[in-house]
Amino acid sequence: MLKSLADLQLGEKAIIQSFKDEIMSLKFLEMGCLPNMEIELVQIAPFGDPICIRTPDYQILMRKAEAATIVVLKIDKNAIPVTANAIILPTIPTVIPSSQK
Amino acid sequence: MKIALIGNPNAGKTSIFNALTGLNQHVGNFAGVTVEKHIGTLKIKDKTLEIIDLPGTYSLYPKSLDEQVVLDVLLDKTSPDYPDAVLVVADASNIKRNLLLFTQIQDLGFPTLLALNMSDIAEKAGIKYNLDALQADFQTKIIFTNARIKEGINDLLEELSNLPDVYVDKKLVAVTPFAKPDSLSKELLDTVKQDFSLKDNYASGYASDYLALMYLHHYEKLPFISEKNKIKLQKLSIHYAFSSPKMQSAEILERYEKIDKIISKSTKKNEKNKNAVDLSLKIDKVLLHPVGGYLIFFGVLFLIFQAVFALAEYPMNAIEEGTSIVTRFFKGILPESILTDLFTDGIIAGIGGVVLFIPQIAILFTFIAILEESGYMTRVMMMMDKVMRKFGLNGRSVVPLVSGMACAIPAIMATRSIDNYKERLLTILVTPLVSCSARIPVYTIIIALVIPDEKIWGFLGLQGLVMMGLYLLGFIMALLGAIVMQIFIKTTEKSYFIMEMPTYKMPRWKNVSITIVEKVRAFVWEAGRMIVAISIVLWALASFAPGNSAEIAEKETRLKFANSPQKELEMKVNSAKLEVSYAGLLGKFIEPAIKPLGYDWKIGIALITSFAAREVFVGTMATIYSIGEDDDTTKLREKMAAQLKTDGTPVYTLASGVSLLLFYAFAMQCMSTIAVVKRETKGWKYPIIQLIYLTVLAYLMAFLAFNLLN
Repeated sequence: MLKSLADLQLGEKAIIQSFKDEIMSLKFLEMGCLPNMEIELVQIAPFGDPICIRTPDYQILMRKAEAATIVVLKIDKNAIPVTANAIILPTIPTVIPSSQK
Repeated sequence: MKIALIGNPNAGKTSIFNALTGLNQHVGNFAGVTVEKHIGTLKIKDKTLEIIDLPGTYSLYPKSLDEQVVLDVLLDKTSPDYPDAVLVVADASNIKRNLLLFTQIQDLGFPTLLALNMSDIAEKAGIKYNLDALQADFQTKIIFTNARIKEGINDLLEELSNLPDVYVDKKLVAVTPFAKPDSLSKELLDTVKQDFSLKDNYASGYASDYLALMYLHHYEKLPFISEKNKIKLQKLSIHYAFSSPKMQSAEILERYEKIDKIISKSTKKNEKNKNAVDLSLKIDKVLLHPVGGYLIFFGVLFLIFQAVFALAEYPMNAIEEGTSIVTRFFKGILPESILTDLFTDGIIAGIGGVVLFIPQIAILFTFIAILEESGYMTRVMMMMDKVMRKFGLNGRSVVPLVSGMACAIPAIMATRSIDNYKERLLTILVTPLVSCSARIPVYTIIIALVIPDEKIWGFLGLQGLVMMGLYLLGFIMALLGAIVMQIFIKTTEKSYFIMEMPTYKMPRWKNVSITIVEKVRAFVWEAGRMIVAISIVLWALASFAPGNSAEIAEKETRLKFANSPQKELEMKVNSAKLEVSYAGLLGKFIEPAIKPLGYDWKIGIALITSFAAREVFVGTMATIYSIGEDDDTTKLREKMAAQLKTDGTPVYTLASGVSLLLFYAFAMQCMSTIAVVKRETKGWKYPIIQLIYLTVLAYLMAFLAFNLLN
């Protein structure tokens, strides 16, 4: 099921699909948040925002509003686990135009 | 030979820099901006290497002022910092993301060396690299380092010393560009290359392609490109429909794809190994706990302050004592003259006043450096971001606000990590409200005068509580100030808060100690010169009087009190001379304005001199009440307490004391801060606004306090 990263619950895992905001996506990309990468929501700040996600190699901190621009596919806990390493398929569009544009 | 040191934030770049250069480094500014530049010099095998530590960045697409500097230095061949070679420091446990920047720099055509740092953490995480394969694929020399235990540093020095002055060694220079998006027009690149005569740096045949691409991406913000050429580049990019964001994401993805292929081929990862992230997450269960997290944070702050006060007390007493001894010594051996007075009461007193602050600044920065080194500061930013945003600030504002407790100058410089202009400006505007260490001597002496030395509930010192209250008040006013001011500052720029969460690490003590040395050195040079200069001006103002009014005042006093004992007479004479001196006249001039706050003309003199720097207050009081006598705060306190107004009531009461405390808590009395704000905001507008609003605020609060308590 496609949803935004901001909708994940603590401890849930997902796979990054695409980015809604072009400028923001550049920041995520250079920091190594890539399409098809498996991530996990590992921390939520005491007042619910910002959140911290775990990528295969490190953790990254972001505000909920920023997380909302990342479209993810939630991984079903009962499904077969996917490999932790990201495999990049450049054929997948990285930026889909947001509805406002 | 110049070597630039480049790497991601948290890759351990500073540790490598410190391990390579030790204390053989100095701090300057990059041309045109106030980003700190750390340069270290090394001598290996009769070669002199200059190592420039550039700010941490994730790519050559800057998002903040700090990162922009990296680009300016690497693209501008006429820059005094343009390097001959680049040493890239990468985190061995997080190699993919770190190599993005590496490949970009290599594509610019620089001879590059790669240091894979924190090899111990990678090893623990079960990552094994095939070094030969990596070196071949990335066409570079790779050295594994662990800056913490100096591992690999000698190899690094060896490689650096082997760098030829003129680059012809193709082994170190990639022969194929790492990334070049297909959609990029070759014609466009060639036009840019031709127009700007971009020649290849080295023997390789492609280096200027990427340089041309960088021009197209960044021309608007590159200071070395003329307006005429900017228009030219703009026309070109429109003509070829060049889209910077699209090209950027295509490039980044292409790079990651290639890096990923190479890495998965030449590394082995044992998934079963515990990695540092797991341990960090466990620690964060406690340190980021919704309730416990904040309790721990405030506990840490409380501990720091207790330590700053308790530990600094002894060296500070010793310094005061020392200054006093030195003054007496010189007074004893030098002939009595105006020059001797200048030397002892102007210069030595001034230097003593500077040295006095060193213990506090050193202790505070020890703690701040430890918090940053360990990774805890990022957790604090995370906990505080939502709260700070309510006030128009950013989680990153916490660092400047906390450092503001030491000194507003480094604190305001630390706002550069805030990439959003509005949040950065707000942070700059409110940081001086946080009580800095220069207020400590003022607070100490006034609190000791007007607040009784009592214990509450048998163990909490009332004076200490007032001191803490003043700090708290500073913070609260800073937050309230931000709320008010954010109404006036408009921006359409988005606020970002995307950053790496580092794993917890033991602080590297060498980094901590170098930070301390650096901050103390900066304080002594930047603020210290000002304090000594003012001390001399002050001495002159208090020593000279217009015309022969001083002689007349002396004569009159001697006649009037002819029957008094000798010692008392001398004091009366000094006091009378001060009253008619330039300083006295200035104090009297502003007396009508400060009377509603409960101050007399003597405090007026201190207020005027404090506008240059607050810490001058104590020195001024010492000068006013005991010209020619040695500096001793206990003695000074006694004298201040004995001061009477013309109607016989004491000058320093609870009302006037609290009024004075509040005035010093809020007023912008620091010329160095004004200078830094001017530099950081690039103009006089904001320092002037800041000066006005802080002065008005200080006056109003002092006025209210005095009239309510009186």
